[in-house]
Amino acid sequence: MNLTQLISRELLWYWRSPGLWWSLPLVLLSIAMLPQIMWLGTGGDIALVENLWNYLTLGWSVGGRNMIESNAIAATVLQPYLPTLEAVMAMSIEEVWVNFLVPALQLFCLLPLSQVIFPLTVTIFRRDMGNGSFEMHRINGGSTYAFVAGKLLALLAILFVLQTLAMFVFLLTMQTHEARAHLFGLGDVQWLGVWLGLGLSLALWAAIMSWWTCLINSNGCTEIYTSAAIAIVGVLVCLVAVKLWGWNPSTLWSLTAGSILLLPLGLVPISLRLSQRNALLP
Amino acid sequence: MPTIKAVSLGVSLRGQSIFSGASFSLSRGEGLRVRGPNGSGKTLLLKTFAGLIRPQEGILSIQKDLAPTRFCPFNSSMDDFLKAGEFLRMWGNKTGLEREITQWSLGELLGQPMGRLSAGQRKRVMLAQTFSHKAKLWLLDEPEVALDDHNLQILEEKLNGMIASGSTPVVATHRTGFLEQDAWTTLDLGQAR
Repeated sequence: MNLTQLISRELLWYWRSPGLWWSLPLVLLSIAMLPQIMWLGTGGDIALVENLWNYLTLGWSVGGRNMIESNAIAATVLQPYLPTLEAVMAMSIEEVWVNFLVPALQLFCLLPLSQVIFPLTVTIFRRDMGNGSFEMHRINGGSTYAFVAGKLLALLAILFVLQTLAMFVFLLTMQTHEARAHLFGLGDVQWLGVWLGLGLSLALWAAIMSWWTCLINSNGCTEIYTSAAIAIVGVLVCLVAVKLWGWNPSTLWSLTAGSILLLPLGLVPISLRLSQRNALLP
Repeated sequence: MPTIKAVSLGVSLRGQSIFSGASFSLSRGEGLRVRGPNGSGKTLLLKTFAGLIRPQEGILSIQKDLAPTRFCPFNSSMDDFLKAGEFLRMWGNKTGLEREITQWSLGELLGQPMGRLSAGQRKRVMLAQTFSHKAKLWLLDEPEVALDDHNLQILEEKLNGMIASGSTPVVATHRTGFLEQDAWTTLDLGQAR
């Protein structure tokens, strides 16, 4: 297979892998949750949170920066917050530590993003070892470099798509409360509902996944721990949302609306998994 | 002059000897049938032929004009996420695909995911993909597994046809009564061990 075919094959695998569809809402939710977690971690310093968030999501990537600059709406909203290269270079080691490394560690350790990306990376490289694909490619004259390059390029393409989606999540979730209200006309109560909906959807999704994993996996319920962790994250999102916006009589309405709006996030991978399960039935 | 010759060939994996003392000689117009119990190193021998594994003992010489090589792995769950038609387009050779699709009666299976095909259907798709190419040395890992009698006969005819046309098939197999014509030399890795 040539490089184009190898990349196509990898992309088809992503597209048809239920694992990725399970992961996608998690990745997006993780990215969306980040500013809230950091908000708590920094004692509510909105400016600091915005700087950290901008760096972690967009500022680290020249591609991301260019993407923003090429998008008029995004540029209007985000440009003032993006650190310039000169500003980063002028920082002391302590500032770099506080502004970049600590949140990077938070991102790495605290969020389920790492639980998704790293197993995914391991999976894509282990997938073809032992099932004959790699041997067939090599023996039939293909190069190892092309095989690995196909995987890496496909992974980059997927990450690019995720980054683009994350930008939309970012636009929907980040900025100060005032900026959010100004941008989307949503008040705190609605935002509370959105976040509670997200959290509950996540928790519900994880609960169903746990049950489902146990049902279909004859080797046991090893994935239940991951699902349980996801459920806990979902509950934490709810708690953070209540912490951020407080509880008021309209909350119940917001919660219901948010859940209805956002539940499909969890239902999409479930329905995909169900359809796959049905396809396996005689 | 032999096209492939092995003298006291031995292969180890992670320090453990898998087989040793394998000797044989193949001339043009002959095929090699590799037999042996599970774990005796049949697949490793094919990979050694392909140059992916270097033998730790003995000598293996393959004539340079015995190229290109084509390999058909045993694993039938390979690329389950692809549809049969996609699998053939990605791994196969355009010029020979149509002929093989007809020969293995795959027309109705092309739109179906590999993962939903039966073991025999998957094997037919993999064989069609392999045989769509042109090669001088064919390495086939248990190609007969899961095939029904009709398709087994097609496979046997194709393999014998390869020998007649001057190329060299090397086939790892468990099946008795398969490829027992005179043109086939048998290497029993159970005994070589």
